[in-house]
Order: sequence, then C-alpha cells, then structure tokens
Amino acid sequence: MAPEYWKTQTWWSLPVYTGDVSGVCSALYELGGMVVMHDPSGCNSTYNTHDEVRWTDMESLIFLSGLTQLDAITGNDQKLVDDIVSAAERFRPAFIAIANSPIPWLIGTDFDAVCRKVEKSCGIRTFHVETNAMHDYTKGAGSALLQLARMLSDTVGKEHRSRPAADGRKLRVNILGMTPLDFTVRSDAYRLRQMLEKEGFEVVSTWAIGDSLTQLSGFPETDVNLVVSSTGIETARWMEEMYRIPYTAGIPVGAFSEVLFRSLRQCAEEQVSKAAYLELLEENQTADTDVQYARCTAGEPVIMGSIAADKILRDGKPCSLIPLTETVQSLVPDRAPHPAGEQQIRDVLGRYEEVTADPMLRGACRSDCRFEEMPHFALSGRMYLNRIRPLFDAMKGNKGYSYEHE
Amino acid sequence: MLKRVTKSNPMVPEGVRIADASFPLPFPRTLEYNAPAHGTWNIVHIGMAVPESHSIYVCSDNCLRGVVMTAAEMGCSDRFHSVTIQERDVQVDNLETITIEGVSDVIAHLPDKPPVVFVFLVCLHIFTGSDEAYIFRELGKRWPQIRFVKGYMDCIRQKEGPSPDMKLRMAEFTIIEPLPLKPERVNILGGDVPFEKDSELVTLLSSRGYDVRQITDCSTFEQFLALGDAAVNLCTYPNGQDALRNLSERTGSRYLYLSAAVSYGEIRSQLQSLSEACGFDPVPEAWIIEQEEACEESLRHLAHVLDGQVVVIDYTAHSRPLGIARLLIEHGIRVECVLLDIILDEEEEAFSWLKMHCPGLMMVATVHPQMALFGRGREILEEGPDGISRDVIAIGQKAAWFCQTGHFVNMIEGGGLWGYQGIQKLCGLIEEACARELDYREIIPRKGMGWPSLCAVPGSEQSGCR
Repeated sequence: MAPEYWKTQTWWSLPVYTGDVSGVCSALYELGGMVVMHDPSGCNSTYNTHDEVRWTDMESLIFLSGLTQLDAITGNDQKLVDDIVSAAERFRPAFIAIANSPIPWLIGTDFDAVCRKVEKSCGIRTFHVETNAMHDYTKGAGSALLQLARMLSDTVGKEHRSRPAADGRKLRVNILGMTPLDFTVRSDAYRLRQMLEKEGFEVVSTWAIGDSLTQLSGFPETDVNLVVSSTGIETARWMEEMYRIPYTAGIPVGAFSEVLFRSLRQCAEEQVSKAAYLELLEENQTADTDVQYARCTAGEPVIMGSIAADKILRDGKPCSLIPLTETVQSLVPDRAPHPAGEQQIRDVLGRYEEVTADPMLRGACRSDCRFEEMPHFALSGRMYLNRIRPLFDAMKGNKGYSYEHE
Repeated sequence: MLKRVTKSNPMVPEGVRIADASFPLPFPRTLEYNAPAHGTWNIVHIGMAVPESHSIYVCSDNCLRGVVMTAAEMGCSDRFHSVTIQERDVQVDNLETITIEGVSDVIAHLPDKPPVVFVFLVCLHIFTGSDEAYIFRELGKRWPQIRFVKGYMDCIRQKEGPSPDMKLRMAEFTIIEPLPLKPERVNILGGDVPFEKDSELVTLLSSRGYDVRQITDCSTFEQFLALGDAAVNLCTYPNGQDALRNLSERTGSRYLYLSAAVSYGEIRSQLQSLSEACGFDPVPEAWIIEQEEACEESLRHLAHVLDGQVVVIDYTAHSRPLGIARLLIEHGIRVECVLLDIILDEEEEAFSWLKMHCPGLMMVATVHPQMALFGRGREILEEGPDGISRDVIAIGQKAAWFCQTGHFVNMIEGGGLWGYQGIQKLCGLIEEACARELDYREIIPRKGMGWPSLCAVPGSEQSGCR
C-alpha cells in the first residue's frame, strides 16, 4: 500500500463526481424498467436532486429500499424481495435492476439470490448491478448498461446479425454510453443521430437516451459501436467479445468529427477497435513540466479526449488529456496522468497554462491559467446547469462544440 | 439468518381514510419514492448554522455527493470538506486510519484553522466497529486548538431511534459550555426557521425586557458560545427537543418546549407555561380574547376567499399538519388530504378528533412508490367520493408537487409561525397562495430554504438542458 495513501482520498474544496449508484439509475432511466437502490436513505434524494435532470419531466420507476439497521443485522432480505415484488406487480416494469450502497456490500448480501427470488415471484427479468457507492458514475452506469445488454442478449440471441458492409448499404451503428450525466442537453442525442445519418450511417440504438428497450434489442444487427463516453466502454467490449461488433470511441466535435467518422468506417471494415482520438493525443500529450506552453482538457476521457483532439487539429498545438473519472482503460494515452484526490488534481492541473474543464475545477488551476469552462453535470451538478451548452450542433455544418474563454 | 416472525406487508394503497389509519404509523414501510421538493434543511445546513464551523464528511463517493453539492449550492464549499472511503479502508482497519489521517490532511490544507470541526461518520463506521473514541481522541491530540464534534450521517439508523438530524442538533449544542446565567436572556433554539423580530413569541418576550437570541443572531463562534448564559431555553421544533433539553441540563437553564400549536386551548396553555418559565405575569385574558377573535376573523375571511376550494397539507410545511387540518375544517374549509409518512406524538389529539369528525379525510404517504406518478395527489382527490376535479391550494412544497399546483404556501418547518399571530399569518399565506401562482417546479427543488441557492433547476427555462 502506498505511503500516505489517504492523500488520494481527501478533498478540501473540490466536489466528487456523481457516484456509481446514481450512474445506474441514470443509465436505465428511460427504458421502462424499475430500479431499486438497496440503501437506507439519501441515495434517491441525492440522485434526483444533483444527478438527474429528468426527474420532474419524465416519470421513471426509481425507488429506494429503505434498508434499516435491524434488517441488515438480521439478514432480512425477504423484506427487500417482498417489497420489490409487490411494487413490480403494481407497475409491471419491463425489467428490474437492483443496485446497492455500502452496507449491503459490506455484509455480503446475496443479490443473485435476491434477483432469482424476485424473478421467480413476479416473472420479470431481474438483475443486480454491482455497486457499493465507492466508485464514480462511469463504473455504475457502465455496469448497468452491460447488465442490460446481457439481459437483452438472452432474448435476442447470441448471434451477430449484421451483414458485410460491402454490399453498399449504410453502416449500422449503436451509440453506447449516452446519459444526461455527460450529455445533459437533451437535443444532443437527437443531433448526434442526425450527424451520423448525414455521414451515411444508420443508427440502430442509443444507450440510453431517447430510445426504447425494443430499439436497444436491435443491437446485434449492427456493424460498429460508437462509444461516446466511458460509461459505454464495458458494454462495447462485451459486444465485441460476444457479437464481434468492433467499437470506436469518441464524439464528433469540430475538426475531429471527420477523423471520428473515418475511424468508425475503418473500424467496421477492419474490425479493429480503438479510441479515435488516442493517436493524436499520444503524439501531443504535454504532461511534462518542460513544455513551454501547455494546455489540457480535463474530465471524462472520451468527451474531453475528443475535444483535445479537436484543439490539436484546429491549431496544430499539443493538448493533453487529463482523465478525472474512473473508467480509463484503453481510453487515455499511456502517458496520461490519472490523478486521484484533490492534491494530485491540483498538482497535475497546475502544470497547465490553458485548461478546458468544469468551472468547479477553476480553483485547482494556476491563477494565471487561461481557463475554458465546460460545465459537466456529473461534476458540478446544478451549479452551472444554465451554462451547459449543446455538444453537437448538426445544423451548423457539424462544427460541434464552440469554445468560449473566460 | 434470523427469521422475522411477522410477515412483511403487501403493498398497501398510498392513501388511507383517516378513519382506517393507525397511529403513529399509518403506512407500512415499503420501497420509497423521493419527491423533488427539497426546501427543508438537511444535516449540511444544520451544521453550517454554527458560525465559523467547518464540516468534514468521511464517507463513500455516492453518499458524499448529496452533501458536497448541498454545500456548494448554499455557497459554503469553503467550510465543507470530505474524505472518501474505499474498499481497502474497510480491509486495512475499521476505518480509523482513513478517518484520522484523512481529516488531518484536510485540516492541514486549510489556511485558517477553524475553532470547531464537525466530523461526520457514516453507517460504515458503525458496521465496521470503528473505535470512535480513539478517532476523536487522536484528532484532539493532533489539533488541540480545534474542538472536534461528532456528527453522524448514519442513514441506516434513520428510522430506528433519533435521526441524524436530531443527533446533529444535539451535537451542535454540546459545544456550548455553561456560563453564569443572565435572567434577562432567553434563547429560542433547535429549529431552522428563525422567528421574525415582530413575531408573537419574540414580542411577548422582548416587550417584557427579555433579550431574545436565536442562532441566526450569532455571526461569530464566540456569540454562539455565549448562548450558554441564557436563563431560559425555548424550543419550538420537535427535532430540537432532545438537544435543548440536554443543553439546559448542562447549563442549568430552564427548558421549555413550545410546540407550534394551532389550537386556542394549546396556545393558552403554552402562554401560561411561558410566563411561568420566564417569570413574568400571566398574559392578560383580554389580550388572549382579542387575539382569538382576530384568529376567528382571519379564518372566516379565509373560508370566504377559498369558497370551497380544496386544501392539501404536507408535513414538511409544518410540524402540525393534522392540527392545521382540524383548525381549517372546524372553520368550514375543505381539507381533503394530508400528506405525511408518520404522525408525531403531539398530533395524537388532532388525529383522534379528525378520525371521529372527518373520517373521510385522506392521509397519503409521500414516499409510497405509487406517488412517483406525476400529479398522483390530485388524482387521489379526483378519485374521491364525488369524483370532481377541483382546484387545489397546497400548504407545503410536497403538496405542491403531488398536486402539481403553483397555488401553494411555500413554507417549511412551520415558517417561523407561532401562537395566535401564527394562525393569522397562516391564513394570510393561504389567501396569498389562492390569489397567485408560483413556479413550483423552479422553487421546490432548491435546497434549504433560507440559504442561498446558487444553482439552476432542471426543467426550468433558464437551465438550458431541455
């Protein structure tokens, strides 16, 4: 164990990202299922206040179990089962997902058994999303989408049903990893679809904003997956393994859009998965302290990696990606630092003269830093909600995100 | 595993006629929905009310998110800090190392060391058997100039014994040390909504020469500590009772709980108790009669203005929702629904009266899963005996949400209303709610009424997320 390891766990002025339990709820919100957080109190309030923009506009069956000390100590899981079953019988959701906070994790609640019992009692597909409240939303939402894909695959079969792209038809694509935690402006989902269609792709499903469970069930009939945030990478890897659907990670912003679309086509053709922005970033990672003028983007790696790539393409100057969320494997350059805790974040961001990040990170940068604010709902929640701008603007010739300096 | 001998309840309807309701828990526990009405204070607000205090939460990310963002939205990020718990911390020891070292690391980074720090422990500390005494002893040794106060965010004990809110209020006032008592000093403490200077309770005291202080009068830690010299401590908020009783025992002050009563008899009795506790002459009967007549006039006027409109009350607006229901019904006002999840002991009399005289009054659970359906409160009313859709006046944010109405009294925890004047002001607020419509979707998701709210609300026009 690293000496003074606790220093990566202390925060004296910065907030933490949305947690894993909220991530689960966010990912499954629109699909007609029922999500139960096995937690005493607080998770639901936190989620609907700080981590969810749809709560007052779109009904969803998201509930808390209200776990008590007595039930935890006595192992009374039957109450959880009974409560879920009675609610399920009333609402008849399309599926049931159970996530949990630390105590059920600590006491080793047998969620597989709970799911089996619920499913047996009400006949509705039930799955557990492994959480313990100690991780960020990329882990929770990522695991939720993966479990959902697994559930759907039981129904739709294990066969990859896409035909070769050579017959001249449009390439079919699933968009993976889209939740309001990263794509807060709802029109972004529609505009991304529009941009892809304009580029000659056919969008089969978007995981998971705006599409129904039925649309998501069409996922095997796809040539390629587009991973638009790290919440989609686990599912993409699984689909690659199970269905041989390759993936490309990135979002079409500005000058990088062309690279991404090209990469997506190439990916379908060559069956090689990658993050489309990585190559550019590998060549331009400027984390070293001897760099004259250093700039970076910081936050969720797929989105900020794409924005960094766009910057490089625009002016030819280097730009680093500083991932601040948890899921980074194969999504960040090898040399990219992955700071944990406030001190490390300050140390890393403090090297840069120009930083693009959420406004709450402004204070972690140098005072003379040229700071470009890009509010991220999963970090600053409602604080800068009115300053979150659409990432995509298909109507303006795919120009994408427009930058505004402080 | 241990087996329960009682069966858990199958899901019951979200509403029950009061005639069929049990006391004090009208609804069995089941899955819980959470309405987007957040005007009430949470433990962050309560802790921050102590001037110059800092709060450090030691908890896992997902649990931390709600409190860290609460602090940010209320503009108190500079007094809020956190230490996150990871799996290894549970394996290394019983969270003692991460708590001591993490809190110390946070404090080391603070440019000015605060006089008092609330360290919030969580459910994990309890379940891993953390040696809390050791943690606080060690912190005290390392930072002798700081007073460490144990706070809890132990949600798992929320429904069994004192809630984290009640325990924090207790902790808050344990900071205050006994001082020589000053007979002219009276504290009104334990609640979150301050009484106005011209409120009945304050004027009753100040007009008799008493120096009335509330926590909102304290802008420095020193002023907060000076609250220990009051001869009398008054509490009007149920969750503050234990804290104020404890404070009074330690300081030797007289303690009096003056519930936010809404019946003339109870108010009379409280006035009597107040005069006895503070040592002033009983309030003149003529004044009492005059006030009761003024209340009657306000209620008559309200009934006339409402003209048969339905009133729905929720428990977040006032600690006496059933008492208010009774008061309004007795004056010819149509209260058809009270939203609550439990009934406080002090409401037992109102409960019994309503059970006997208004058996059809609906009691509706705010956390019941069925309430996740938008406008469910209004639907319940429409499913009533005559099935008529009616305009609804809501008292409280949750009532506004469930009835989807902008005609609501935007009030939490009694709104600083007390006594006869409280009744008259409440009538005025209901009339105001009747006359104008507020943007409830923009107002009610904001946290902690009375604190700044530095955020935009999803769904509102300016949020830009549509």
